[in-house]
Amino acid sequence: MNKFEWHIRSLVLRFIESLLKLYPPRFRHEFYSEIQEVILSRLRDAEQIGQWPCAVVHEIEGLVPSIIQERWHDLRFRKETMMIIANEKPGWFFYFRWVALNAIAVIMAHYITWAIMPLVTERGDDGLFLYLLFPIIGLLTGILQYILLRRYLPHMRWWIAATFLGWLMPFVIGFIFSRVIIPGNSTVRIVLGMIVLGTTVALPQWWLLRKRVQHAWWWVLVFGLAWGMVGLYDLFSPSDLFPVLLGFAVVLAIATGIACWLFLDRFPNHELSSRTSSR
Amino acid sequence: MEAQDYLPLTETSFFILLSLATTPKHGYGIIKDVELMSTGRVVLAAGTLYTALRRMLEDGWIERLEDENPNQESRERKLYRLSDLGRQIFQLETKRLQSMVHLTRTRLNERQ
Repeated sequence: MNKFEWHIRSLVLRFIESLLKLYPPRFRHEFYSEIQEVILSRLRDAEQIGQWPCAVVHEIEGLVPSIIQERWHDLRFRKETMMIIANEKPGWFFYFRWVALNAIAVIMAHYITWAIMPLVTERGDDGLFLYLLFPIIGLLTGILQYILLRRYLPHMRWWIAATFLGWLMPFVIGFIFSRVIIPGNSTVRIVLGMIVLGTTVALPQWWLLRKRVQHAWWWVLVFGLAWGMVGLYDLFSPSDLFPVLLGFAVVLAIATGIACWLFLDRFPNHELSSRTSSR
Repeated sequence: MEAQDYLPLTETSFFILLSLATTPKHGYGIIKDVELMSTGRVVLAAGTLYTALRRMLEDGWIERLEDENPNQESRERKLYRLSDLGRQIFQLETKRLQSMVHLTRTRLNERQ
């Protein structure tokens, strides 16, 4: 074999090696060294009968669909395991932390918004305040809830993005609701409006929860009710934003804590967890 | 799932089971055996073989064993053998193919 041929062959082998690395980790862990050895043995044998190039083409032709199939299989497998809820149930300390930290996160978001408001505008604009406050609440509560939930609900890395997105929804839905559906300023309008807003805030999180827990719709329900209650509270409270926000923070933290208790403790996903243990 | 539910088998699956029906074999052993049995018509690529083996392992058709007499060259060689389910599937598929061949022969003989 001359030097050029040797270079070509080592390049081809490196290419096959890099193709093998495209297999999903689970498959690689099981079969990488075996498959590598089979290919090398085959190429060694093919070389002896002068069919090295044909064998290379044949192996590459076989690897590509196999990698696609394994990737697809891995994706399906991951989807299935995403539906599996951990057998462990949270203790009372989880709920205590959930309520306390969620309420604190909303209050913190309020102070952070006050702190960054002067950087954005010189006017004390309440409308703009909410435009800053809601995304910050979304981000803070998303991070916090992810940290608390990940032990009991695996594969929740999209939770932060979903929470953030949810807290942006009121800007879209609120506009449509106030202008198109029920214009005016009645009690019914405010409470109904708040229920609709709360529901839409919870929708992206519900989208993630629905494959992991049974009765994920509780999440939407408690959000709607909590926001509706805040709407009522808002009617009888002074016009100052902070007491409303404080009430809102506490009600929402308790309501979501109850939702967590319902799907993590009271009605855990027995069917899915038994499927996990039988694997 | 019952053995019957896996039928009919693909040609690749059938040849792999046929190859393992007599003795446990390692990956390259299966490839060479299938090539020999099919007189060079079916040449399994390593990727095709291991995707099929992974599926068969997951479905419980075959079992994976450590090779007790490994080659000096081979770093990590695993043997594959048929499980009871795999043997059942193989026997059912063989019967299915036999009955099809029988049916074909009968029909063709009737015409002649």
